[in-house]
Amino acid sequence: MSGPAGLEALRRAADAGEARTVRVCFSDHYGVLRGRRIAAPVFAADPDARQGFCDGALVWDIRCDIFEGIDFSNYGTGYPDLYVRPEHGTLRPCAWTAGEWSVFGDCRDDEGEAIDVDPRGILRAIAARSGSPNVTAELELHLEAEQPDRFIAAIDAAANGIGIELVALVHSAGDGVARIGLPGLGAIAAADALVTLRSAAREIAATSGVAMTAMSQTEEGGRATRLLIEVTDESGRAVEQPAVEELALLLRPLPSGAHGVVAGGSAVAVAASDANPYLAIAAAIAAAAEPAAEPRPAVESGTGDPYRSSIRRLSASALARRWFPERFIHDTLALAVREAGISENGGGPWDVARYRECG
Amino acid sequence: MSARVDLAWPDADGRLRHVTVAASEIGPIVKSVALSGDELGWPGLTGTVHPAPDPVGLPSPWRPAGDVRLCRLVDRYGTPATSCSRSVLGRAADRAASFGAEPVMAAEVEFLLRREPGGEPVYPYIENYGIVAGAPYEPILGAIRDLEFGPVRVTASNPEYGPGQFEVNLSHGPALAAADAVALLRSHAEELARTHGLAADFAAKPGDELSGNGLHVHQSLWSQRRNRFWSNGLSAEARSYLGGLLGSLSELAAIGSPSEDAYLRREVGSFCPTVVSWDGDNRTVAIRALADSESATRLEQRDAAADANPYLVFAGQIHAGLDGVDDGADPGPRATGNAYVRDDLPKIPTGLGESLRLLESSDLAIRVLGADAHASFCVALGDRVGSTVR
Repeated sequence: MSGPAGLEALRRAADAGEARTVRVCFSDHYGVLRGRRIAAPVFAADPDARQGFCDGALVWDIRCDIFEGIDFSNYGTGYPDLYVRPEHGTLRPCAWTAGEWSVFGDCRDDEGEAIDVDPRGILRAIAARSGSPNVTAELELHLEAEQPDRFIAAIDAAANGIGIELVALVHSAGDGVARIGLPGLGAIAAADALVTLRSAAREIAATSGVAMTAMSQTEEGGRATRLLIEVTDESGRAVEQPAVEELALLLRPLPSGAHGVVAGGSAVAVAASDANPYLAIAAAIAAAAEPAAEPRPAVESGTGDPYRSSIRRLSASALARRWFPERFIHDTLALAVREAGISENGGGPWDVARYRECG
Repeated sequence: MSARVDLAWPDADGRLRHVTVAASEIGPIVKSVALSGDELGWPGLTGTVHPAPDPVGLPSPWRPAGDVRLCRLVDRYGTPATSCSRSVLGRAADRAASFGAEPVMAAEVEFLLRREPGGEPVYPYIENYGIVAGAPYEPILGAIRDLEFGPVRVTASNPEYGPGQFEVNLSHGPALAAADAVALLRSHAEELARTHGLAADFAAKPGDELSGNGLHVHQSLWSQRRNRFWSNGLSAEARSYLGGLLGSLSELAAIGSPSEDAYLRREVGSFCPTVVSWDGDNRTVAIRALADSESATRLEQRDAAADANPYLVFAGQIHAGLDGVDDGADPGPRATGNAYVRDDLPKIPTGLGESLRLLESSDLAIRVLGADAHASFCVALGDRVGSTVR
């Protein structure tokens, strides 16, 4: 780990006029970074203050549309607040944008209890239950740039700012894909880093004149970008994840990823680059914790629409029900069925734009 | 002291009007500046009034690093002018003082950031709470979050539930300071956006397909550093105050929604309330009663539009609440669940004409505004009935 971190470092930076803003962050269902920017002196004066957000944020679709049919939150529940209490250990400067720091937290209800559809909270629970394994991950992004050096350097600096020394950071002009390799990290740290770097990449791209997207497959038949996840044991060896494809919907939650990404070997979870890292890592860990004892559900794979197939597999998955909260599964399926319908009706420029800008 | 100082005062819509004067001109009353209520949007209030500056300067929206002194409007003898919105709110706070209480208020204000005045939103999608979506506009929003207005400051911001829409949160404070902060925030946002080639639009309903902009008002009564709304939950006084707010919500609706456009944001499912209702943490009701701890217990009234006059909105709600305390009003049962489908609850007016009729016949509104200002305000609103400005 490198660079300043934590509350005291933030306070020093705020006093020195070097920290102006703290981003209090959480992840929505699709791993899009959500939150609020707080004036740094306000945050520093009451760093434990919880931040309230409309809890529909955890169950809206990729367009931020809320809809009925979701159990967790709807008009009947009144869309009350969820609360994010900052974890000071995640306070880090955003090296790619001067004066801003970020901090993560799990989503909690009014009583301070974990919320069962909060991706970060779900990952925390699954990681704890399976002995807190390490994960390694590689994130691919579409990057169209004749001179990507500045972008790549900025990503490297962004990673350093959040205390991560990347093990790989390359751009291939041939296929227009950048690869960002994380070292072995705890599950939450890895997911926080992936969400942060994917978001940082969008911000950096916007200011450095390059075209970048985390949308997995931007055109039919085109190269699909991926998020590769290994779960490692105490000796650093990758653990088999034989049934991870039961949880394909958590690895490839949007139609473009489901159509473009090819499932890999059983030691690597092959998610789409626009997956929610918290949920994709949670799926990999859950699958790694159950070595092939469970017969695969009698649901077809490899035929028909792969996105619809992933919905059916999750719906039938005993593995999912052993590891993921029932309400989360219900609402994930509701979101995916809605997304499938939109996709099958052709979507539109609006939908494609939303996919391109996700992550 | 800077050689020049801005003086500013709110017009009938709560928009700050300002002049820049030499610091040497500043006195208890600046008689070199003469105005009439009529030119501030108060029809028929034609007497000459002058600004009476506050003793403390605040960050000026119009001159970088400059000060602005907010002013009451007074006649040549120092008597508060009928057209002085700040004095209207001052009287409400004075009434609360007669209860031994200080109203503590806070506001959340929404606005639309456009590419140019009347132009497209800066982004076309809903990006609520979007960290990345908000990043390009940090030169504006970051500067807004730096603002401190005496005891009240800007604390936070986020993209809101509409294309190009942002919400800004202000800390709580005394009623007048909290309303001053809303007025100043709007002017600062407009000037900062303009400086960056964009436009900040606080219109209640900036376009048919665009989200309405709201002004949520959080309030509680305090005395001797204790929150009187807290008694291991919502206190009896808070419930009576809440009953007062609910009982007058429709008759004062025109103050918080002073244009036809404001009623266009009152749509089912829009998170702008449509029925007179309250509950705990429920975004479908008109008033949320939030009672988790002493420091945070408050009532949040959610019906006002972002372009309403915050001084008059706050004053109306304080008087309404205190009437409820006076009368021991009962707020009735909570509207649990989806208040948008509650046909049994009274509807909040759905148009300015209906709203204005209630305001015209409201004794409470006369007490809030004063008889002359009430009559003038009703005339001003009457001119807006039937016309939208979107």
